[in-house]
Amino acid sequence: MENIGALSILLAFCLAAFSVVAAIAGKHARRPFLVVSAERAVYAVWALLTLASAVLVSLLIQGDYRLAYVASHTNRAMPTVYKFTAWWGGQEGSLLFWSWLLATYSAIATYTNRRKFRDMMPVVVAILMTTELFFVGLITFVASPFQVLIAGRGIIDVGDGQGLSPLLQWWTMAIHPPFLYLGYVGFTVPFAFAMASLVTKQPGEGWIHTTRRWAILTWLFQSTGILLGMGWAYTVLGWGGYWGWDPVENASLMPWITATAFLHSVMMQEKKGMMKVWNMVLVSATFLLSILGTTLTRTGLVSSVHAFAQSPVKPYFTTFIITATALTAFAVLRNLPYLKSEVKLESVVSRESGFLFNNLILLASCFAVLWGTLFPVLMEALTGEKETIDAPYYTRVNVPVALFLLFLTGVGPLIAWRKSSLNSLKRAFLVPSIAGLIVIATLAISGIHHLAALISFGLCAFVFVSIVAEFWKGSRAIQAKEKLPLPKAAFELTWRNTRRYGGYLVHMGIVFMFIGFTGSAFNQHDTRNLGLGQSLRFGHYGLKLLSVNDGENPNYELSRAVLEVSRAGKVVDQLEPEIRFYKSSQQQNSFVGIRRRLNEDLYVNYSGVMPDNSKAIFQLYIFPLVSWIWIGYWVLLFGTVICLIPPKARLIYPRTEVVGIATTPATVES
Amino acid sequence: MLRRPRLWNRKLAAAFLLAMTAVVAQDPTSFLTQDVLRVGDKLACRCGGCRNTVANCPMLHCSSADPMRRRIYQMKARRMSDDAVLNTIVREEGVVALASPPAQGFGLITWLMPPIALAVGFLIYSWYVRRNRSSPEPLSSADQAIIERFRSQIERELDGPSAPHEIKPGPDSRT
Repeated sequence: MENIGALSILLAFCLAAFSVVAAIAGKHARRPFLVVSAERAVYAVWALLTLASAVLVSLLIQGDYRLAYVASHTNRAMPTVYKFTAWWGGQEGSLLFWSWLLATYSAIATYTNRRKFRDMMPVVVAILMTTELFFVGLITFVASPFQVLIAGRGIIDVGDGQGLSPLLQWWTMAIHPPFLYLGYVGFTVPFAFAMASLVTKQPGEGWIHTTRRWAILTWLFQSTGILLGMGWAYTVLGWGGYWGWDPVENASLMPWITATAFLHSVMMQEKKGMMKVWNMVLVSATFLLSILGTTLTRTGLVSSVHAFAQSPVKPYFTTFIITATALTAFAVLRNLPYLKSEVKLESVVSRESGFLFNNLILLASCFAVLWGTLFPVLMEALTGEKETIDAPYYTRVNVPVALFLLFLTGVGPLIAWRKSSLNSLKRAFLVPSIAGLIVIATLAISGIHHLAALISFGLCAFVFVSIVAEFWKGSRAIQAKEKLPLPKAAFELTWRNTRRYGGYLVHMGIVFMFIGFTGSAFNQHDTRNLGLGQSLRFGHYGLKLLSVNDGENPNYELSRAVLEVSRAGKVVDQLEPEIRFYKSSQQQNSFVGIRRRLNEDLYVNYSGVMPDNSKAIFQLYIFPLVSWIWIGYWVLLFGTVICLIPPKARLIYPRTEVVGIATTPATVES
Repeated sequence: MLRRPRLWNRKLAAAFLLAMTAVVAQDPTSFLTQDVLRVGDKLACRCGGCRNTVANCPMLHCSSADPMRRRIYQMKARRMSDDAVLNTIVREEGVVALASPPAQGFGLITWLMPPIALAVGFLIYSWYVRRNRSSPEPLSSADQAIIERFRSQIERELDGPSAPHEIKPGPDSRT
């Protein structure tokens, strides 16, 4: 069966190569049948990779321990769901998964545009399939998931495997990588359309209209992947951290930042024909940073807790990323005249300028993360001396930047397009500013003197009020004009411009997340010992150890502590943190007990027992406001989904020119 | 007394007990004093399993953080200052022991580059704005009147929806 998988991959490689050649030849020779053939090859690549993936998943679930990949990442005792997720649990399988996702995206992009952009599509197909060729090439020739275990001249069956890392046997980890990959891989499509538009010098902003929803959806996947990873780290790693500034975490953050900048600045190009070079740079940077992210994960270039083991793929990834960067830079520089802005900036105090500034700060933040991630590698290469860059560096560098970004999140919607007068600024800023100052003053009076936290909470209030005011004013206007109840007017308002008001909801989600991040300034931590029946006080909680129970299933053994949680003398909860010992991998892992509330989480990690077995050791944490991070995600998800819904009336933005006034900023087609 | 975890497989039991015994050879919580946590917060845990500092590494028996906590504890017991403890460790193990690079020598570049990048970005922004900025042509009095009409209509609709019937017909406000 593994031969079918290996053959499918080999055929997919050949067809991807054919697709690239046929697309380019068809475009140059003006032979439509070659272009159509190239597009059909895209579907064939998808079908073959689907077959290969099905074969691998089947072998993983069946437990065919003749295969090196199956033996390394599964064992008989593992639940079926984790046998399935082992598809992306190791280097070779995850490369196949990546290739399959890219093939799926390519097939969808090709199919949905089969009658559009006939001039541009051959280049789109060529770019997508070149990227596909690289990844399929890796699993064909360098890191095959269908490699069998060989001893001497014979194939051997080891009987049982080593199993998946215990850290990965958790539900969020089962879906975190696919979402992240959906994000990483998805950025290839907007990149391909952007480059194709550039190379073929398409008039207008066709590539933006086509890929806007694609970019938003991909951004949502990336956001979801990142948040799932944070949720996993918080629940599984046992210290309550949701972000450790590990190079691989940073690698997922960087394309997210550039994609966020792109989603903002692309509006400038759509509405005003400005920032064309910048958008091209951002969409390319997002794609290249996605490739960099997977390079960091797979090549051992940087020391990371997430990275796969050292493997022979490093030189191939390095070559690909350098070549892709050079070609992209060449394409952009060669076509600079085509990317000239159509209009000029009227005022520094305008939304256009605000977008520019927002992009600048986002890029500075991205650079700080990139620098911190790669500097140890550069330093070692230049001086031979090793250096560690951990959380303290990132916190110190990124907190001011993040606060400024939060400020811009609130300011952006308050500034008008083209130009804002001082009076309109005063009117727009007054209420949100007062709200922010009231929050700061109230918190300061109540005894909070952490400067960054005060600023952050104040800015959260500022942004929150500015967004609510936008909804309030718009809804009230519709309510008065059309005699609708306020909730219906708010619904109508949102539906009329889903992108704008969905965007505001996304901003609201970010505000909630910042509330959660800021809470970390007040974390409490202690490590304590408890005997059976003994109690202790931690913060305003009382904890009593009721029992320690042992158990076992085919996959692991466990020791579970049962703790009674009380507050003000009243029992409020029971937590059951446990230690698991996985038999196959011989690894131990903790599963924490968490009491989640909106104001704070009580977090208990059962870390072991004292040498004389007299007491259990617990690491105790109080994490204020952390739940707001997860709430913020749901709001962000809701807002993004709203952005993806077509508006009630389709908006068409005529190019505004700096020649006096425009009669209407936009026309509405019913 | 707590019961040990019930183990059925002897080999597994031996491995588990060995691991547990090794890790609890000495009460690791006794080293977690405020002094140790304060100094440990400036040192990197280098076990390879996390990216925490020596202070907040969650593994009580971590191969990197635990011995380092003990060393700090001993040095603090000898009444060494925080800086002296850090200098001793850096002298012996190099700057790689620190959680973030020192603001001197090559390490200074780490700290300077992000603000420099921001400053360069700001210069580019200023240059772009200056190069692409142009004032609109002066408006005629008729244009001014139209703008005023729209502005007052917007203000009425947004701020004072009490008299919607007074709004004069104009371009659709949905835009």
